[in-house]
Amino acid sequence: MKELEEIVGAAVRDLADDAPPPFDLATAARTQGRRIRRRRRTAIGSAAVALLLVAATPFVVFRQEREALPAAPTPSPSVAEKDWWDQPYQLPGGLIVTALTGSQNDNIMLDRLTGTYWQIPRAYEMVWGSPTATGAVVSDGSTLRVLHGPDSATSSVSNKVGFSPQWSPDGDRVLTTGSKEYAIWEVAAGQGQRIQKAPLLRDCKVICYFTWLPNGKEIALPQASGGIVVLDSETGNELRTLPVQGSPAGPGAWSPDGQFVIVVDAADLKGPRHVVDVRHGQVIGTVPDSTLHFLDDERILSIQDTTAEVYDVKGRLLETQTLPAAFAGRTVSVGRP
Amino acid sequence: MRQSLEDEFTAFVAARGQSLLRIAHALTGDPDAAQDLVQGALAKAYARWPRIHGDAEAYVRKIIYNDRVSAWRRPVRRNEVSVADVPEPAVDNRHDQAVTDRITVREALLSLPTRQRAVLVMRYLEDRSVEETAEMLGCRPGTVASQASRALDKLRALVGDQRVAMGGTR
Repeated sequence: MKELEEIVGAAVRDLADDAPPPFDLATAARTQGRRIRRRRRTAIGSAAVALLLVAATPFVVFRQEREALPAAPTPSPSVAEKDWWDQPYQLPGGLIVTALTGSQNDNIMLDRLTGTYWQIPRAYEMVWGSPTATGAVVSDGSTLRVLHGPDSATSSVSNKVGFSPQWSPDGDRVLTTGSKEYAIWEVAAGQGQRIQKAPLLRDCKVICYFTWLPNGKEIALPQASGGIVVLDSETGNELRTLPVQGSPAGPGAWSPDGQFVIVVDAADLKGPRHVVDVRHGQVIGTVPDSTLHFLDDERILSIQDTTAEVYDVKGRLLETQTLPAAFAGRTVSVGRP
Repeated sequence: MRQSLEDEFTAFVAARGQSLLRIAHALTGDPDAAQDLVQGALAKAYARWPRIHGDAEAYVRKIIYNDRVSAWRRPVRRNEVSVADVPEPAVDNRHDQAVTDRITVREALLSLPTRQRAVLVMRYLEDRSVEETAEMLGCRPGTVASQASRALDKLRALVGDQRVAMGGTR
């Protein structure tokens, strides 16, 4: 005769075995999670205002004759220790900082007209600066929009296919990845988005977003079953599969001639990034886990907190530059001067 | 959130999503409720990801259990089968006795109060000790033991002594 515990154990496992397959859990959780964050911030903001009112009330009641204080000056970005924000911040290798993001209150982007940085409205928690023009993709937690400058309203770009935005190399378009399709926004032309179904996303399980190849015409998607598939961005047609294991490490992952790509190993997300020759898939060097961008001369710019470094493709350190202290913990968008 | 953290979150969900859904389904007995439960827990984890990503799994599992137990405290009890719905033990000889017992117990499991079911899931699916279960559910080890004992008593009563014999708590 079986013991009850054995039967209970088997019944519980049976129940667990009938669990549904995970369907797009990450995307749905992100959307809901961003909503939670926004609500939390609103609640904290409201509490702060309430406290301020409580603290100020006696002062207002008893000192009504006091003259109004002058208006506070427009806040300048608090991210810097010096006046570095008064001109485009130069990085090693000739690139400049086009945006800084990662703080709820002090996201900034470069206004190329004046050459200074300006503070992005608090509603936008994430910013991806354009590599070539004044402008940035901004996220309010649920939708993506484009900010064209300090005095401009956001453009009407907003969609459901809205994760991991990637500026095209010419800065005219933005590529976003959804759960079943990708979208390309014609930002510079002020046109809408074009959505392409991408069945390949079904086999893209870990780090799953499209990146532009340097020619600005092709896009790439890593596959869980191996290789990186290159597609025609216009038609969505598969063109070729590169024998590369891993996922491209962001928008600057491809060398200018497309021969090398920096990849993240899905099994070691905090480990070093690998520089891979796409012709045969061999790893030729490693660079630190950081924000990485290939430079025009095929060296690699690495930005991590307050340090910018330049490596060659074999991972040899060539140059180091210390960044302002407030870069710590931020993600840097870079572009051409 | 930084891209590397976003990637980490995506990888975590890809790696652990199915396992979390198994727990949620064992707790709820309903695919949609399980999906909602896991998605809600992951959303809370995402909102705090920069702080908790080093120990995300424990955080998410704790939320799943706590949310399920809290949901039970609310007036509307979802996915619970009333005692009256528990089928009579099958007597069809075409089925293997063990399979019949298991199906009967499965139905009976879904009739248990959520907290008792949570204890059984932790003990028998996750193979957690009494102390670990108590820590996860935020109660004393003695409470876990008594909940498990009561759950098994109820199951024995629901399923019937003639079919299974009680083995006691581990």
